[in-house]
Amino acid sequence: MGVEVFVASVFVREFRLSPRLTLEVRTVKDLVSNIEKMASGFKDSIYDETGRIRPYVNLFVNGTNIRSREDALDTLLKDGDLVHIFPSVAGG
Amino acid sequence: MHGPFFEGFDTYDMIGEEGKGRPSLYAGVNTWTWGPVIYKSKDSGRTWRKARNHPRFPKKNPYQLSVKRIWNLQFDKDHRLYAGVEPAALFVSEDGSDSWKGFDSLNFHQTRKEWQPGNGGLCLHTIVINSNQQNKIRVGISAVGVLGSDDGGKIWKFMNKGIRADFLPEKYPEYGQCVHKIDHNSSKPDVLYLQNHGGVYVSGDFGKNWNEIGKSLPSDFGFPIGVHPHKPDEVYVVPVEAGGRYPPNGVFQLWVTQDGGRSWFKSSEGLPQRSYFNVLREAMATDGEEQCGIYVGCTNGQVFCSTDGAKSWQKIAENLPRIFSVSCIKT
Repeated sequence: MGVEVFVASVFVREFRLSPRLTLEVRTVKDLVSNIEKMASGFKDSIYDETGRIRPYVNLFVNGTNIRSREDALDTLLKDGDLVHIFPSVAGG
Repeated sequence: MHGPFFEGFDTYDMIGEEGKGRPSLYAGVNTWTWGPVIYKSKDSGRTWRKARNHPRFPKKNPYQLSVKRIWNLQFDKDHRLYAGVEPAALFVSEDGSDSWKGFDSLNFHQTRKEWQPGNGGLCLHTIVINSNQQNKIRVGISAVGVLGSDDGGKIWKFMNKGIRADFLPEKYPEYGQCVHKIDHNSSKPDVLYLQNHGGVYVSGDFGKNWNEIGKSLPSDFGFPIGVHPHKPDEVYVVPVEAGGRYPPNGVFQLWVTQDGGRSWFKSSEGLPQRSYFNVLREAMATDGEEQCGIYVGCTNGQVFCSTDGAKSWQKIAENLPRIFSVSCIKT
């Protein structure tokens, strides 16, 4: 069954990803690493070299934004979970 | 005209790697979504692709630093690509941005905790490599000043002797100066010209000592400084008011010295008379042709060019976005 991942169009375009993925992963970090295998550079675009999620990236797990959690990347995932990866709406 | 490229993102610097055939172009693109990245072009900028890797700190670094912006790109004669970034740090790539290595002794300098940002952030915005001795490197950091290494980047020393820091209690501190830009002509590799937050300076010993040369200018504040590619004593600056950051009395003007700073003349023929814009530190360039072209890009989206030694200027582009960087690349 896996984890359902919805990727915003800006990432779809940049990394030529499918907008909807189903992945067998246990944590958010696994999920990002898994997508990195399909799209080199994706991980660097989601979190910086210290492991902090980038300021304009939002990661929702079952509708809850986890970006401000210190252990966001260690968030556990299970079959049937929904993950949305969106950039912030910024500028206006 | 081609583009726009990297829509919605700021490109603070772009350079060309000269060699056989068409030069490869490299752009430091500061994306707000996925961090600062290097893009490369092998067809004179018609198409771009993201480089394999970008300047990044080690995962476990003593200050928990992460790269926020790429400010300056520079090649040395051996085709090593250097990148100056914010927060202030220097990186080098020996394989065209496939991989990067940081200069840890600079990036985690023992004084780093004392470093203060300038108005644009704590950024390493200028990289100068001595054209005769490539192990001699100088960098400019706002608001830390000039640091230099004579051993290829292992040991770094402050090189601010003679540069003012008017905004500090001590006017000539060891560091804390707000250097804005440094330039040089490779035929006189030890002579550097520097536009500071306060004053224009020259060094005859590759940064170890500095002398102020711009006291007759209408403002001691400005961002870019450029040296003529064939005449090493000919230097261009763009004075602006320190507060409003627009030209003195609202009249756009460059100032030129042809004698290494002993005398200056104003250059404004063909430039707009009522002007309340700025020229950013990477937005001046020369083309290296026999009759050298000088180019300045303005924050109001205009580009001006002079091909008669800054006697007169022509507008060659307008209605562009805020211009961060102007580069001349022979294709």
